[in-house]
Amino acid sequence: MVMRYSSQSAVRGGTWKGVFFLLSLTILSVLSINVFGIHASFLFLPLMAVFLWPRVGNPIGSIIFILLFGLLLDVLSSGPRGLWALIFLTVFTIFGPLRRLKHQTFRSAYKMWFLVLGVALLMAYLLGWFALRHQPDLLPMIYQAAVAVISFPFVYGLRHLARSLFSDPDRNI
Amino acid sequence: MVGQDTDSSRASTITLVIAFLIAGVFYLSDRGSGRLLTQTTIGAETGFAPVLELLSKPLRAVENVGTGLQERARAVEENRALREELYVLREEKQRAQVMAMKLERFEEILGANSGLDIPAEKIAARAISEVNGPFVRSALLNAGTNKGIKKGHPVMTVSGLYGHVLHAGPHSARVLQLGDLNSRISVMSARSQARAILSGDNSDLPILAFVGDRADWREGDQVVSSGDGGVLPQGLPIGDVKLSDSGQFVVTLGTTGRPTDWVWIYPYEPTKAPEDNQPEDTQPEDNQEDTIEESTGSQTVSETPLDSPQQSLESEGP
Repeated sequence: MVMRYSSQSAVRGGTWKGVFFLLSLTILSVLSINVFGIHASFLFLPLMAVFLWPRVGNPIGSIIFILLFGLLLDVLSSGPRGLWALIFLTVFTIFGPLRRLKHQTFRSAYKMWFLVLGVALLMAYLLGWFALRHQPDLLPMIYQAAVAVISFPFVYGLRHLARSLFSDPDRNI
Repeated sequence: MVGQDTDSSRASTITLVIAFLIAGVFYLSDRGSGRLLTQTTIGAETGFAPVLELLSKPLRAVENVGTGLQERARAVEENRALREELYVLREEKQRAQVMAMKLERFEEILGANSGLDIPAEKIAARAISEVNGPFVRSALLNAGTNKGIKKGHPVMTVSGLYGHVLHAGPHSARVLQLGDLNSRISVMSARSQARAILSGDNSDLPILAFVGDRADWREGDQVVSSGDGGVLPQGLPIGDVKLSDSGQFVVTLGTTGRPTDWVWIYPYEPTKAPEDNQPEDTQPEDNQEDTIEESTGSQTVSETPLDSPQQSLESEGP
């Protein structure tokens, strides 16, 4: 009984950790910075939270939250509605927690991140083209993807740090 | 146990399929249910505006440090240029004063009043989030209807016209930038008064569309809002004309490449057509039903362009 309770709370905790991570990155993603004439925005950042979604999360709750945050990002970024929700769900389905290695190294995660970005870029390009009836400019998308590539080690490191600080070391998540 | 896992797996698969369907429906019906989506958007933006405002402060500070360093580096050169400009402007000011006196006199004689379209009142706000992506170029302001901001109001920076208010919530407003794919502004050349439509294409260089064969546009012309259609006031500075590699006229926006922090909004009321101003009770009774329908129809037509970022502000040609 105790074990069952513990496992349920771990599942719930895993989902909330994912939600917190995704919410933080969603808010950060709509902020932009313009220094020395270079405009950087972080629109692909929340995708990291979907890609690195906790393995112990409740699958149904996780899917619902990922859908909601995808729609929220669509609203906050003023893009075509449903675009990010579809990208998030696709990435969660293809690269979700059950499909990635249990003990993945940073290098394997980074390699996989390139694949995730490739899928997201392709989807954003095609869905954006269909929604706007106008071929999207590839250059800003590539810039944003480049920012996401550069920021992955920082976000991954922060997540690793948070896990080591707040997680029970005996619990293998 | 195995049965439970299978059930759970089946439930999550069904949830995933439903989630895809919901996202797909949102994606496909984006244009269909504009009203509902706009209300949701305003609600979400209003809710997140304080958080974004707080988080944008350090970023704006970093931007200001960057701009400060750049300005410091070219301070001497800029100082010299400004002094030369000041001498020219003093002479221009004197001429302008004389011309204003003459104009006033002529207006008195003719009994006309040309006046300035640009309102004297300004509403200050901060751009707390700027999206310059492949699909949209917009910004979120930290002021809304609480400060008197309404849909369609022009938004300015010190470098010129930035865009117009797409929708305003109680404490936030969404601005559609001039470079956005759906931005269409009626403009003119300050030199020749030739008209065109400034058409955004999600790039830094929006194009001048509907340029007539005889229209007198030249590279280097200063572009200002024409005020045609009465949607925007006349004379708002926008940028300079440049000839693209493909031989098309494009506009280098004054706001491009500069960090946008503080902006101001002109509470400009668009000029309404006489039929829109007519009170309903003055209509003949037997035609009232038709007139209301027509009136509602015309309102829908005039409001729809601003309800969705996929639509333009000005529908009238030059």
